[in-house]
Amino acid sequence: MEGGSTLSWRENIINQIQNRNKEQLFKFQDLITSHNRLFDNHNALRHENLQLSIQNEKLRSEGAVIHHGNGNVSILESKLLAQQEELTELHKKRGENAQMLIDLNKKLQEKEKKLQMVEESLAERTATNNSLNKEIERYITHKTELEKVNQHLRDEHQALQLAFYHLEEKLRKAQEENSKLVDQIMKYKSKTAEKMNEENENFLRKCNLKLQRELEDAAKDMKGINFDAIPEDGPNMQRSQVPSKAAVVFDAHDGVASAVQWGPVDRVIATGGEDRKVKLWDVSKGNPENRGVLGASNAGVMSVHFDNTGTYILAASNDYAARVWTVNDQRLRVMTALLFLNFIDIKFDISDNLQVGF
Amino acid sequence: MATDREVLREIWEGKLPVCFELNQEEVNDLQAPEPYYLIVPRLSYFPLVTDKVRKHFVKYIHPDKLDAEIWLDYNGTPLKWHYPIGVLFDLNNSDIQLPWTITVHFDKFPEEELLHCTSRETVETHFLSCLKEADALKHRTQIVMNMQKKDHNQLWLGLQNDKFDQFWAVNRKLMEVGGEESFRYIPFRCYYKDEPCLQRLIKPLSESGCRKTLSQLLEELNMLQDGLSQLKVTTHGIEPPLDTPLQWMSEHLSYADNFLHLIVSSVG
Amino acid sequence: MSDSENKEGINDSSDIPKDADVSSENSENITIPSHSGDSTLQKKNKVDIFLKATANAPIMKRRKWTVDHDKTIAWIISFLRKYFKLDSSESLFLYVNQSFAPSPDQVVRNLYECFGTDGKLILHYCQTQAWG
Repeated sequence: MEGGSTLSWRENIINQIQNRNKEQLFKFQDLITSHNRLFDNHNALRHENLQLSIQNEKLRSEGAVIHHGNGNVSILESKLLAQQEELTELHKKRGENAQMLIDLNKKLQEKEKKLQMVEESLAERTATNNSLNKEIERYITHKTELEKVNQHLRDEHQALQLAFYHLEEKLRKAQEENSKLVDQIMKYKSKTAEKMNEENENFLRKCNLKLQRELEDAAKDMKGINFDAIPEDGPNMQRSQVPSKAAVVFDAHDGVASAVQWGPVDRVIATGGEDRKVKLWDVSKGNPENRGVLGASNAGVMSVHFDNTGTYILAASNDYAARVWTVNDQRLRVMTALLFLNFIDIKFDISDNLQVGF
Repeated sequence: MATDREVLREIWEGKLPVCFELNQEEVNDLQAPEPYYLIVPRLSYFPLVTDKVRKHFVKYIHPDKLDAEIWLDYNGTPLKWHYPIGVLFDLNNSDIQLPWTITVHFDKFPEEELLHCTSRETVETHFLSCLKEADALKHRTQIVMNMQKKDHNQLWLGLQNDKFDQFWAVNRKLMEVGGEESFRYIPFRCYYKDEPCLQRLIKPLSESGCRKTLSQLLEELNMLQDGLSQLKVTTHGIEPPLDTPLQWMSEHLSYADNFLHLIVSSVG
Repeated sequence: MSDSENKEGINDSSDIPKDADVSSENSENITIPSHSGDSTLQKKNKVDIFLKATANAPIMKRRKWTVDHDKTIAWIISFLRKYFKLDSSESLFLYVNQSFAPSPDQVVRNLYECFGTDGKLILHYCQTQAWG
């Protein structure tokens, strides 16, 4: 019972719904959808229509302008005339333009010439510029060379300076050595002097002894002699006289006369002076007579001597040298550069050998 | 149960042809606007389908009223937006000529008779409140409260966008009877004459455990003074047989708000 | 059931003197049951409602009211707004069962029949939206 009734009410309901849909929906559905479509189309068209009418209005206003322009023939003719006038005007303008063109061409040519000139001068300038550049280069090389040389010289200079220092050092050493040697010499000299003094003393003592002996001998002999018998102005007791007046005075030298010597023969005097000269004088006739001037000395003459015969004359000078001249012909015979010290005195010894004193 | 599913589908597919016309007094143009035709779902609400209508007519009204809320009337009776469209139609079914011609108003909102509807959210709030009320009757609100916000959204979007599958994927849960054989009470609203709708506690099963039918419901509502034959019950545009079980009706013939909307009228 | 209703009636009547001023100032008239009226007859047309504040809502001195059964939710809301002297910008929501907001055009009787407990309908009110 339940099942049957279930079926019936459900069937009933479904049928009713389907009927309802048929009645209420399907009848209208297509109609309304198509209506809505038409409605939309209608709206779209209306919108489009509005747009078009606006456009149309625009076009119409433009068209009106065009219609107005569309006048009669006279307007066209006048237009043509105007165009022709314009044409002639244009022709005129064209002639003017041609003239202008020619002028401009001329100008252009001138400008080109100028341009050429400018270019030439430019080229010249460039050439000079190039040569100058070359010169500059040359100078630069020259300069570098000079610099090199300079450098070279500088190096050399340095080397020389070094050598110089070296030599100076050597010189100093040599001087030291020299001074040592001089000291030695001085020592030897003093020794020699001592020896000579000793000899002199010995000689003097011998003399004294001899004299003592002679005196003793004499004393022995004098035992008979009466002292009272002896006169006071006996021949042996002459009074001594001291020269108080110069016999001859004369100017011998320019400056100081530092040496003078009698010659052994004749009455000849030799003088030596600061003026580096040795002069010979003959004083036999009272007044001195210059017999000759002996030069060749390089500094003041300190000492002069004759040999025993009067043939040679010896002079010592401040230039560390002793010189010997012959008296007769007054010629320089010997020059002896001796030591570094100045001569104070020199002598010939008896055998005519040169002896040197200091 | 393929046929039951079919019933759900057919109920969902129920649609009505409507012709909207602007109130003549409000036309502010040389030409009266063309009427606007629409096919509207019976289960939906008017505010969800009238956007295009508003857009169509707003060009023809007085500029001061451009932002005004629209309201509808049929034959001088304002239409309550918070009733499903199908209910509104069935209430007036007796004298309606299809397509259903409805007048659109922008002016003179009838404050006493209609609720304001400012936006779709207002409709959504109302819809969800109804769902909760129905669930309170069916399951003591347990199911609807255990749902997530996204499920509520899905129900709402399914209704709004006329998506049967989307809606029923969630609504199915609300129609489950759980461990029991039936709902606690049948959520229904009964419209009789011009009185406000009736809501009463009606169990789907009798004390003996038998399924109650539509006629028993009428009996419990004390409507049988004139005899069964004098009454006609309409819902979804059909008259379900009086021996249809209430539980089945609630599961299959409820509107989207989970209520049965039954229009009772006297024959003749 | 009827016993409890009677009790409520008695309670109700005991409330009268206290709230007489409230009812009298309310021109729209929350109807106070008459003492002399038949209890069952009175019950046909009247419904007891129990108004409870929720969240930040102001509290009423008297919570139990008796109203005509054909009054709407909108009517109760406007009564509450007047009672609290709410500004038009302030909102007020009513909830049934602490779960859903009834439609403003719903009549009290329907709610009482479906969701009333112990002979009265409990309505929660608040100023912010609660329970979705």
